[in-house]
Amino acid sequence: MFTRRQALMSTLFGSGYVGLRALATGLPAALLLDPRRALADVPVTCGSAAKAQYIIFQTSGNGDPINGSAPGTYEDPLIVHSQDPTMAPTNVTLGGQTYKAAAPWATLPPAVLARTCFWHLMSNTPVHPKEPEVLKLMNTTYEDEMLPSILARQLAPCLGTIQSQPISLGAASPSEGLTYGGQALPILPALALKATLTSAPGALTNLQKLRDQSLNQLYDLYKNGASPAQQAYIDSLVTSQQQVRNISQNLLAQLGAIKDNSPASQITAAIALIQMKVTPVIAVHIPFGGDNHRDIGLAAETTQTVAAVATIASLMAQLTSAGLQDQVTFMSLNVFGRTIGPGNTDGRQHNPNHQVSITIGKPFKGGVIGGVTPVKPDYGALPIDSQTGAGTPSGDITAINSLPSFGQTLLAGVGVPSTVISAQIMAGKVITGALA
Amino acid sequence: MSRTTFTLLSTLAASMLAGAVACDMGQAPSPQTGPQSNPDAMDASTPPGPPGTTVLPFQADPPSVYVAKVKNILVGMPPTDAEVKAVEADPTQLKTLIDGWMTSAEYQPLYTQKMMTFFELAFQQTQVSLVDFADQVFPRQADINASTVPLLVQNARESFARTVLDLVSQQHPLTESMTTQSFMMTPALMEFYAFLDAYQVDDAGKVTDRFRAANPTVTITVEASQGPIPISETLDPTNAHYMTWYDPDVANSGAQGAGCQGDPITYPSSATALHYLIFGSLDGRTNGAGAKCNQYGGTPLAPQLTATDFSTWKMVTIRAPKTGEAPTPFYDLASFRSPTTTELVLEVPRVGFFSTPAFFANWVTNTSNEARVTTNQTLIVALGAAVDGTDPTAPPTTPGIDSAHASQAACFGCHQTLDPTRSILASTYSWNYHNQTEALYASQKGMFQFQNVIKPVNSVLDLGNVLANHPLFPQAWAQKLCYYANSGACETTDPEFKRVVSVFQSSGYSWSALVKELLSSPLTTNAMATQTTTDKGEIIAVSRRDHLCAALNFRLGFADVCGLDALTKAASQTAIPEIVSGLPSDGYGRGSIAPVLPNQPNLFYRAGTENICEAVAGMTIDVPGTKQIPNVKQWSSAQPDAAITDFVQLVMGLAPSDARTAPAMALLKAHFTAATQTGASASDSLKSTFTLACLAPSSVSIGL
Repeated sequence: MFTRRQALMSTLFGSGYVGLRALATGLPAALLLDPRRALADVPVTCGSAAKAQYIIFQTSGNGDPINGSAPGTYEDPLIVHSQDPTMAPTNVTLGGQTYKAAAPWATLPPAVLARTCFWHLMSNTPVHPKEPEVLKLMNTTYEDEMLPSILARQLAPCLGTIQSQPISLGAASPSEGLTYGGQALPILPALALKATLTSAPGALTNLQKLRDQSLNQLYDLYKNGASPAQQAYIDSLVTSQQQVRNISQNLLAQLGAIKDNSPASQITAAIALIQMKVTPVIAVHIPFGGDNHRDIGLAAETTQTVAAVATIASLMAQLTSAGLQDQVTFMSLNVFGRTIGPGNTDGRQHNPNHQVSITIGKPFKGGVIGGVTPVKPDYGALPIDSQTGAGTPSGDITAINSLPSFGQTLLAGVGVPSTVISAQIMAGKVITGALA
Repeated sequence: MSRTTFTLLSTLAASMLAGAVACDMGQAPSPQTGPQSNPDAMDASTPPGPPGTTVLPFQADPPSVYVAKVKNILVGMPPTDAEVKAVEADPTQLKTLIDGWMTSAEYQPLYTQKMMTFFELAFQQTQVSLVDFADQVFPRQADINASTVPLLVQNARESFARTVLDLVSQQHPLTESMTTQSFMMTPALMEFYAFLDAYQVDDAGKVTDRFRAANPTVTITVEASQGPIPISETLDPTNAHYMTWYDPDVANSGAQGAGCQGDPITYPSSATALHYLIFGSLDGRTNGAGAKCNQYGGTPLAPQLTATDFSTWKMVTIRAPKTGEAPTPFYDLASFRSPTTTELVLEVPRVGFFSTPAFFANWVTNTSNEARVTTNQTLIVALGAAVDGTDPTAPPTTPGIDSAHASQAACFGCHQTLDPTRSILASTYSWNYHNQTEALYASQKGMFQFQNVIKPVNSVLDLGNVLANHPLFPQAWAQKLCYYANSGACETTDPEFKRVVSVFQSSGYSWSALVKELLSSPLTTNAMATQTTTDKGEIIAVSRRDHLCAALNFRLGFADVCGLDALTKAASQTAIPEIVSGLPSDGYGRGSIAPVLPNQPNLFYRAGTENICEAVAGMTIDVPGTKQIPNVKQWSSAQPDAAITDFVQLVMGLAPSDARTAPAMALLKAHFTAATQTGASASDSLKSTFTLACLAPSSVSIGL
């Protein structure tokens, strides 16, 4: 017979003394059993409403050559850049320090450059299919959640958004799609977003409220006798209906400007979604040259980089016009960068060792994080000094840990508590030198 | 408890906590230095369940639910009362019903349409646009006339799915999809295949114009002022009009640039100029006065190809030329249109799904990749497995291995199997998917080495045969169908799944046998628990784009309400095509074994389906006779009861005997009444009632 005493002793001293430890520390037993899981699973509460940001997250599975134009790559004369005059090396001032970069970057307004940061990272893969893994910071995130989804989940309660899932507006293929809690999320091109959210005024729209009531009754009818899985699914239908009705119809007119699915339209859609408080994170795709193995004279890289920076400049101008410049951060992360060493004049190959990310936002200092160094057979990211953000061979963040450190720093920048950061990203460390 | 005891316990607890935290969090794992390991490597076709999801207790579904699910998946239609009652009386009757849905005159065309969509995805022939074909016609585009571009792309996308449908309808085993050298084609697609044979691009991007080489003195003349010229005269070398083509756009050839107006205009021998001409475009040129004339995409009136050239399908066999035999001329439209022309003589071998222009457009390779992506995607399609560094195959040799790529230990695991396996593609096709002319690659035929099968392959037909006979083939295709039917994977260790696979094998790889077995299995019906549902739970999913559109089309009589078909899309007068471009849809990602299947409803799905339903209501309720779309179901607000009965049975898919039918009917009637009481017209009230039915859980979901 299992006595009360045995039960008590088992509870206190069984399973690694979990009960005893819980009693002594006041922490929940679940936390003691699996601290990381418990911290990750607890209902998300806002870490810091003051620091929270909306995120426009640029990602490309093509591995665009952003590292071919970024500051930090102009000090080594052997590194190959586009020779086109529109990409001429030009001084840019980031966070009070002057760097050389391709000319388009210098076209950004000083106020934007003051909070623009280039991150020299190692994605550690040369293959396109690893785009989802790179977004999962090469499988260093809790339960393989993608970075945009971690950000979205943590920021939603701070921003009071309608949903906590991110939205992908720009994925060029399902490979660039996002997942949230392991579930694939649909890709919503800008034109589709406009057509989806816009309700034509008229009798049917006027009857929406009545129809919602009737539909709720139908939901109840279907739940009656349904299996647990079916009931859970119907609950999600109910939730999605509530979410639709929470969208401000007053702001939908902004979607009227969308005429295509171009990066400019994605930006328009993203800003509208932010103003409607639909989601904390919107993923877009802004081409910087694409998968440019064969790119004679780096012509495509040149054209697309010029256009991409112009798109970013337009984004920043629109955010300022909307008074959102301090509430939205732009960030980028691609599957890999390109080779930049000698010989890469008519195209660039995949580079698992060097990828450049960009952040532009209030939480981050302007500047360059990390750096580049020869790594056979091309160039690779340097280790990073977490205190200063400088790239140095003696940096305490190894090149391979630069990617999860990037993720940790982004979370820190937008106010996610350190305990949650370490539970969500299981490698790397916060680069405090990058934080404003 | 004394203070001493408490202190002791506290100290003990604190040290234990510290130990636990240090153990769990002290040394965070670093990213791996080599290829990422796959924890499910031994069960590669079964991805792990979503992280953080809870498996809910299983509860068996009744026939009213699963008959509706199976029939919807197969033919997009709701179940009849008789069908539900037949299965309630004898569950084995589901197989009989499935047979009928696959073969009866009423349902077979619907089943064929559903399967075509499935095969397009399963063989990875879709998700392509014109620019994806650019490498095959480097440095040009495959087509520049806006009126024919969507038709050509759609032809390319559909061709292999139609091929497989034809094969399986004639009881051929599905394994022939790996080895077939016959493909369903339209005259337009025959032209495209033959053009790709005449326009060769090597590894370095150097173009060899075989048409020009064979016809160096031919002048291509294009005119408008003299009126149409019979194609028979244009193609007859003995006729005065040989290679003289009529194109009404020539009358406006000044659009090509200053000083470019002329009629006729001429081109020196050029495969591209002729190909563009056939598709209704004028290639760039320098005219006699030295003016540089830009290419001109052309008007819809310009193509030599007619609408039926994009919609008339036949099976065409591709074979290599015999000694001294010339390949089929790509401009021989008269021959392509003839029902008796069922052969193309081409230099570039085409075998199975993995060598079609659409597959190549999907998986573009390059000087660095060297056909590895093509090979990996071929393995994923054929065998449901990818090269991921965990393959236990121990290759005795590694012919064709790329020493530069494989020099690092972390890379060797993948390259040791991938490189020898891809060698046959590299030796056959250039990086632009034409004949391989580089001796280094052409001479290295390759060794198939994957998942414990090691076989030399000397041709792409050999590769097709190895794939067809690979032990992973039957499981892979049962799994693809499982994804399609259940929006998730079947567990490959599930005894029921193994039984289904064995039935497929013993049937001689009969596709119909597999469909019947899996769709009637509890893996699909959830009529009883399986290992899959026990471990992963029952999946209820949104009706993704293709299922939703098929149901609306088939139930309401639309040809293409969603505008998914290039031939009918232009007719759409609604925003539905734009909305459906953002609906959750089945897709595949590079290197991914599992399809991408967004299953969860979200606010965008809810908003999008509401707008779609409202648009459909506008096309089906109180539509004036002159504006009615032929064959589309129509309802009148003067007869709301009859309409609501249809809404419940046809749109919501509830059979009369379903316990939910009567209360659903009452709810819809109450909504109609309440709507009219708000002052809305009867017509608007009925449209709102239709929208309500159209948004009902069973209308927009699979598995309710």
